[in-house]
Amino acid sequence: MTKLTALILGMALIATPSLAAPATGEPIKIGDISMYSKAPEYTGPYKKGVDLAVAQINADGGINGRPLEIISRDSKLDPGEAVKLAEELRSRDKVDLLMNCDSSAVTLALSSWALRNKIPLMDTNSDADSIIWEHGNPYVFRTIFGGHTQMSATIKLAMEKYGDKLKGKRWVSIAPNYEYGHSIINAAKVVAAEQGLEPQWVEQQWPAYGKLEAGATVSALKHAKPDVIVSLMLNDDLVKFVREGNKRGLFKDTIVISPPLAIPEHFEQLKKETPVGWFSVGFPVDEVTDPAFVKFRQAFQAKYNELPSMTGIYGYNGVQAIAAALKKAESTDPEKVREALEDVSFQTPLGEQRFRKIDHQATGTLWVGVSGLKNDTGALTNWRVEKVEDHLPTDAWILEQRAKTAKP
Amino acid sequence: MSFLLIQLLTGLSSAAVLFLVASGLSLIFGVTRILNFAHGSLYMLGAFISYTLVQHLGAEGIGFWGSLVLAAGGTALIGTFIEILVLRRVYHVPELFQLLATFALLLIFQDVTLHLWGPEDLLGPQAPGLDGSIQLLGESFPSYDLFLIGLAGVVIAALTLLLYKTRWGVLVRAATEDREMLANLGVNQKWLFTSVFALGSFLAGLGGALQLPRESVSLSMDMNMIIDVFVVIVIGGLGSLRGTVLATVIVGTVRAFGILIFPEITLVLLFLIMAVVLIFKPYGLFGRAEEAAPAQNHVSTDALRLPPRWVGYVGVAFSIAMLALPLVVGDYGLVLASEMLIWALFAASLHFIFGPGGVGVFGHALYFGLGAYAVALLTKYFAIAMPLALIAAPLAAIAGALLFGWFCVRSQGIYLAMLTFAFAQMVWAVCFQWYDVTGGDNGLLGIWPAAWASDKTTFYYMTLTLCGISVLLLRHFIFTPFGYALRAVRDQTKRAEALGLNARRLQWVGMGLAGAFAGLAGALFAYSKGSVFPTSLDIHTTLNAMVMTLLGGLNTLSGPLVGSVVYIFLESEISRISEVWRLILGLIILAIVLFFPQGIVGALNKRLIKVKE
Repeated sequence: MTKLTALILGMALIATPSLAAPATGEPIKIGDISMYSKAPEYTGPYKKGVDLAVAQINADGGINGRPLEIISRDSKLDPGEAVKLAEELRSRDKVDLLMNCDSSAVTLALSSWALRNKIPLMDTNSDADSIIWEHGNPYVFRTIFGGHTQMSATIKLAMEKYGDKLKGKRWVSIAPNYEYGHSIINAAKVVAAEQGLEPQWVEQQWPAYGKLEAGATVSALKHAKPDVIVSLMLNDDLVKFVREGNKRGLFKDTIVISPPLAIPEHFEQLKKETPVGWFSVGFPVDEVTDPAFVKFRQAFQAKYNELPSMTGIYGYNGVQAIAAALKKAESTDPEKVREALEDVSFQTPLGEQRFRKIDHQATGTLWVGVSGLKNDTGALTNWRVEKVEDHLPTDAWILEQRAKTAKP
Repeated sequence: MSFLLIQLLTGLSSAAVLFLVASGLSLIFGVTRILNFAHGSLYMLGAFISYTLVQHLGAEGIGFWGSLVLAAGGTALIGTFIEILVLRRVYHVPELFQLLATFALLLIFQDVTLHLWGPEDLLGPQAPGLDGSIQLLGESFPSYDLFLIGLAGVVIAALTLLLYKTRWGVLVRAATEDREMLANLGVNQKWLFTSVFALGSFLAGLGGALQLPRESVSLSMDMNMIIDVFVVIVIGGLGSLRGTVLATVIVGTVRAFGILIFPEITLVLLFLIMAVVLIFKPYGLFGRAEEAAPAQNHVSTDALRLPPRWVGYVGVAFSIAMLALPLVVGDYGLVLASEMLIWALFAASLHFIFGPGGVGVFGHALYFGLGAYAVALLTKYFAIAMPLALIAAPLAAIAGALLFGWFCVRSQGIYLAMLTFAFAQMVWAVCFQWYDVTGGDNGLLGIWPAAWASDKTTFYYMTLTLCGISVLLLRHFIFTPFGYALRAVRDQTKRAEALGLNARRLQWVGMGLAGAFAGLAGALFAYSKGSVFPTSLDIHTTLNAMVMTLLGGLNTLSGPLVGSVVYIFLESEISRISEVWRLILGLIILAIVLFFPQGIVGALNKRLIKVKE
């Protein structure tokens, strides 16, 4: 069907004074390369969020009459494979944009490809700071908040609770031994110093991701007599850390700051064993009363019979952003869409958002609070909404990071 | 002081479960000579099964412990099942195929487990009565950890009793020492093998079940454990129970203390220990040279003959087709074709050292990665021109190959293979952690080919030329006196040495050559993807090349080429149409190992080429 026919048809449909007609034009194709087979607990909800957004947009007339179509591929957590798939989606399937839910390595490889091939990439899950700062480029956009933001929000919340008692203390860190871990602990150091906390970093442990030797590492941390523990333990490592830490009394009389603790996946595993009182970023999706979010939650539950989780929300937001940009650009030309993405504001369950010019980070909100127990399982308690924009470093600092990477 | 003692005990308790699983594999290897990749899968299954049983039988008292034992028993049954169904058929095929067959089982188990239990990690209950800690030397020490140390001790005692005081044990020890003799003495090997496999699987499953109170049951347990177990039994010496005990104690304690001195060493400590041990004791702590020498590591003793003339014509026709490809396929087709060519070169380099070279390496991806990183680093820091980089990469790779190869050729068989793997892991760890230089796991980005080679067609022709010439060169080397000498050393080491050939030096040079071409493949790979990550150095890259080589056929020269084309094609098409790509891939690999061990080309050879005797 030619564009003209689609346009006429679209106009005719819109002119009909009845219910909004579903989109029927030639589909706009968006490629999706995500870690489906290797991290299904994250990509499963992500796909649900994405599909929900697409269904809603298409039911509402699509993009000027054209439906959105997402073509998904499995990256297998392999950056080389992801780049090959990007080539395939571009030349064989003729996608105009890419989106993904994946590890930072894969996202970085795709961002490099996106820059080279001038195709916008919507990152909905990799929160490594380097993706938009050190290695940021004009073609990458991110809906989820990053590591620095999480660290800033949680540390500031801890400061509110403890005030001066947090000054001049012994801090230890435990983070996975890859770039994400190092950069987020770095962010903690930067934020703690900025806020005048005068921390003494007495011990830092870097277990290999997924292979935490819980006993030895907990014992080493305990030996350093910490007052504050910054933990970036995830998934299996987190479980081991919690169990072993409790048995060895690591968490007694310490303040624990652990941004990734309160994601639903962790609560589902830990249940009653969820540690209490850890400062974290969470997703209290069942408690939020904001009407936009409630509407989204109800739609999600109606379609999937479950509550939305982090990847679902940010996948949904990604599609919304893309749709808004496509509508504004009135074209599928990747360059025009990219420009539109820089300017457009889009509606999400978390409110209206746009992308910052300097780094293409979506403005928006996050929920920060303290971990606790509710109905025999973990939950984020005493939470409040924080703005992403309040927890970002200065523009000068960001430009400094960009300058660090030599451009070939 | 008390802290150090606590740390020592901690190290021992983490060694306890590792010991259980490793002892199972050590026993199995000692008798059957099979290194079972799927041993980690059995460990994982033990954990999953015990999780489910505990849900049904309750987490108190007899319910909990009963579940653990039943889970171990269930795993033993599964192990027996795969032994009878699959492994019995691969006892007499070359070692490499056995490894691949068990790797195929690992893939199959991964998808089966995923579909039976779902993608989420599952957290089981704490052990009843052992969920707290006791005060030890002024510190809280988990009681469960003490229990594990005690249990490991009991198992060591039980195994020793079993091996030294029962008739079965005598047979097992005899089989470990000299399998052929045992068969000659009329012992029914079939049931001996099956029973050992059952016991080994029981231990693996028990190890998995015992993890329930400590960590969540997840789908990555298999790979995590199997690497550790392989390393531990190599350090200890294959087939030696004593060795396994000592090795796990060493590994557990060094790990516990290593992180006090240098926390980031976590990535590489295990392999560092193995490399150090193997350099001083090339057969592990208690291993023996006789065990290392593979029964046979090539498919047949047929000499590699030059094929008849008509095959040459097919080759020419094929080359013309490759040259004309851009006329027929679009951009994506050329990207895929370039990728196939790069992998074909990598597989051919692996084939060179594995097949004719007779050196079973397990860390060949190291040289692929060295080539890729050479290009990336030179581009990033010196903005080097592409032709220069393409020369520098193989040079970097050959330097690495000669450096590491010197240490490796002092070992043999599985020890050599594991040492190559250790070096690959160590370089991987350096690339992974040296964030300032190599970009760490973020990799190096923006590695694009020169402007004149940027369009897909030109890049394809460049790749075709380079890979084509390299493969022909490799082929040429096989038929030079050097190549014949290599094969002589492979087939009849003692006789060759008696004739004055220096086995070690020849293999060393062979490794260098293979490394150089692997490096070139890696360099082209870097340019084709535009980025380089530590994944190019890891085990999956090596395994891909191994599967391709075997798919095509180990005793043929076009094998790796055909294999890489078919494998890449299969992999991309299968994952397009199905979620259970691991299951399907595993079944295909199994089918090849069981029914087409000569590979595709080998099978074709048998049918089409009549050899004049």
